[in-house]
Amino acid sequence: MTFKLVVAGLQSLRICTPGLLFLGVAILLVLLPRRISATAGTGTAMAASAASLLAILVAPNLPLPERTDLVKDRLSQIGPIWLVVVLPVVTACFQRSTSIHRGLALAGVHLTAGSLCFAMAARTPSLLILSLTLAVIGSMTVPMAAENEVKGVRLAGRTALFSALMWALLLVGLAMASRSPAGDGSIEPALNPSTRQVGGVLATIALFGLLGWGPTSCWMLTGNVGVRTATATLNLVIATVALLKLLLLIHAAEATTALWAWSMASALYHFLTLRTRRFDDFASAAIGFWASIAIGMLVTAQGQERAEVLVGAFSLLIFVSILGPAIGAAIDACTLNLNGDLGNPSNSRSMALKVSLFLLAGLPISLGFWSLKLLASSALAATGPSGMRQTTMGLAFLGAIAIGFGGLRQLSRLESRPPASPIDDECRWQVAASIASAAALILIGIWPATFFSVAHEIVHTAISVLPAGPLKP
Amino acid sequence: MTAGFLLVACVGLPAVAALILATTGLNTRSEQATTTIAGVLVLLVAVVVAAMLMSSRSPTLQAHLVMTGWKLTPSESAPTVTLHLARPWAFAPVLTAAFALLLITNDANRSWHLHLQHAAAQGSLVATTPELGLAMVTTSTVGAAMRLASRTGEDGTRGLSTALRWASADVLLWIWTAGFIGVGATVGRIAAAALMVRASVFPFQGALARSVTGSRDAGLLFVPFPVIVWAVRWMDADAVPNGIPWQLLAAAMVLVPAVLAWASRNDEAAKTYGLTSLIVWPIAFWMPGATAIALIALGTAAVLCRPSSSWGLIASAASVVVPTLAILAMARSGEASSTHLLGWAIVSLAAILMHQRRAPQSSLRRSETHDWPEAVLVILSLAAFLAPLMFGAAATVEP
Repeated sequence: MTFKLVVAGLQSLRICTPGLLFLGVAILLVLLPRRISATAGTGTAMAASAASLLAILVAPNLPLPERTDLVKDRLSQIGPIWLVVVLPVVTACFQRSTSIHRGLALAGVHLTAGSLCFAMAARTPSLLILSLTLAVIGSMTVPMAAENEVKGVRLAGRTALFSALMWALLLVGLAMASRSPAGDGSIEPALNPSTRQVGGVLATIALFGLLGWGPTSCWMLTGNVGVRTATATLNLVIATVALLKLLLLIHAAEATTALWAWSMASALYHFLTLRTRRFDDFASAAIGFWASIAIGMLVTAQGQERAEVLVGAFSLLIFVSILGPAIGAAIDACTLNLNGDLGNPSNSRSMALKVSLFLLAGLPISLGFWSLKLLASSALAATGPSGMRQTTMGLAFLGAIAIGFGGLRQLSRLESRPPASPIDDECRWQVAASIASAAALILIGIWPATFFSVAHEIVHTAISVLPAGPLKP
Repeated sequence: MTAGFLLVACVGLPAVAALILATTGLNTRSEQATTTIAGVLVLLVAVVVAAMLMSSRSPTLQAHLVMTGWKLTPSESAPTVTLHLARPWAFAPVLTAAFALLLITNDANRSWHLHLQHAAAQGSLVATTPELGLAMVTTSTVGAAMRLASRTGEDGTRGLSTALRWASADVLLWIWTAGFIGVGATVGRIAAAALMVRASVFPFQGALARSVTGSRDAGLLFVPFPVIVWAVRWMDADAVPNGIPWQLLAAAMVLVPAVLAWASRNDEAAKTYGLTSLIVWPIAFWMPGATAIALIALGTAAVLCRPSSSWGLIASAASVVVPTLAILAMARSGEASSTHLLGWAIVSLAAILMHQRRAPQSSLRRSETHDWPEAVLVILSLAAFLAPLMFGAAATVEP
């Protein structure tokens, strides 16, 4: 019996080979000496990603055992590819860190990636919560790669506090949302829906906060741009996976207007922040703006266009999760000093920066462009809260223009800056990772049908398989 | 199939050249080779397209590209991009390519921006829908904005504000085209105002007149081109008010900056810009259906650049000879009118006059001008002027 259980467990785990690989690398990095060279760190991340990709491509299509906590669907099969793209560029974001805790931060990144693979494949709430909690712990270690100066310490402290708060809020919300209906008649039946709605709203607020909802997310706009971008990206990926898995449970239709208004306030906040003269803050504001637009569309995902809106919003989040660290790495590669002053880049660094800014404006042809196109076309349909969607997309177009010209203004300012220091090995890795990520986004943009077909399948699974009622542990 | 491929090549070749120049760090020699080869190839392809169209029984050439990879939802059908070139427009791509080649040979920096503008101009000529045409206009705007923003100091600030105005005008044109602000005469006039902003008509001219005075921004001469073509092809004539005061105001807005630029001393690039505006705008807006003439005028103005290199000379010759042949061919087949020929004669005369009173030093010129290319150009211009008169009988043919 025990032997059978072990075999069944191993068979289950085989569908999470990428997750196992990432977790294995994380453990290895913790066991290794804490100080690891930057090149070795990025090389490890790239090797782990390549091995995971290979495992995804050549993994046998085994049937699942009858009793397992894992599920085999499109998200668990294809989702790890997303992590394979994100992981190297996130690692490259803190390539120039000289902190002695960089190895630990690297292990945290791999822990997050491995845990997320299991979260994507989780069938039961217990495994899902456990995986997501491990992922958040992993992302909380990333700010340890920041330099040991005031801003770096502040970033680490704020990140830990912010993540803990959001996670507590999520757990409270889930506990309330998943309460079983009272069967003994001792509690008013009318209270149960209300409790579930409040729980759903609390969980939604927590996940949206991790996605980059302003102004809470701006609280962490301090310290090195690479480190904070890596942390924000991991939080965004965690929240996106959690939303996909808990979509029906935490969806609070009654609070749509309030959540949408908050999203618009967040988008406006980021829109106004685009006026900054600092390049790194500008990039963070632009990323936050697109995340807010995606959130604004997510909360209006109702009616006939629900699937299209969800696909568009999740695609936009995936776009942001890849582009954010790409531009963070490019900016960090041009940094002159600890204050974040930039030098005027040339050659490959200039190209990485310009391509990232080009994609940041949502211009064709990239994943971001098609996501916005899908959202815009779904906003035109006169079903559900179409007014909110149209307002959101109107703001999105204004934002695209503001980001485009803000980026040009920033580039124009760079022209008057002193030339960036000669490119070294660390910069080279960062630039390569940034360009590779941008190339991935452009490649998807050239042939978006495959991506969106898979995204439709994943969203349909998310809104049809999970029960709308209470969770059954 | 072949025709469709060639139409795509007309747009795709300069786009690929722009991509290569923008993304690779080629040395000067390689840049020169790449940019010249791209320009010559597009010119050859455009000549073949024109020849095929003029010899074909079909009045149009078409290319249908079914973009199965752009299907975003399972329920929608695969989007189709259709390119189309009608016979009255047969020589427009040739002229555009010749003009581009002329600018390429005069552009000391071999910038990717020039090729992108060329691709947008070719795309606006073969676009089948207003949306596709507007996409080309926006492509041109994005390229120009990136170019203008790369300047430093006050030039950069002014250029950026100009580009922002263009982008805002683009957005308004998109909203109008998509039907968000409805239809009607008033809305059409709002769109026409946006169009004038995008085309940098006075008083929205901003940095454009200054931009073209430097050889490194020669590509900006192309910036108003796609939007003029778009306006002539897709906007109703109702957008322009009929009252005489409105007409005078519109004429002043178009002509004043052109006259001022033309009258500027010792700045031949500004003169070129002014002359181009003087010729193109009245024809484009007050002679409906005379778009071919507008294109020809633009190409003829290129003669004024007076290049010194052999490729530039070929391009200049092409920009005079090809339109002449085009007009004659169209006149013989009944697709050109006396208006076309009259317009062409005016343009040619203006070109010759301008040629005779040129400034001593051209800012678009990279080296000393030789005497013999000058002479050839003058002869070609004279021939172009005389040709319609010699074939005066054909001028009576009305479409």
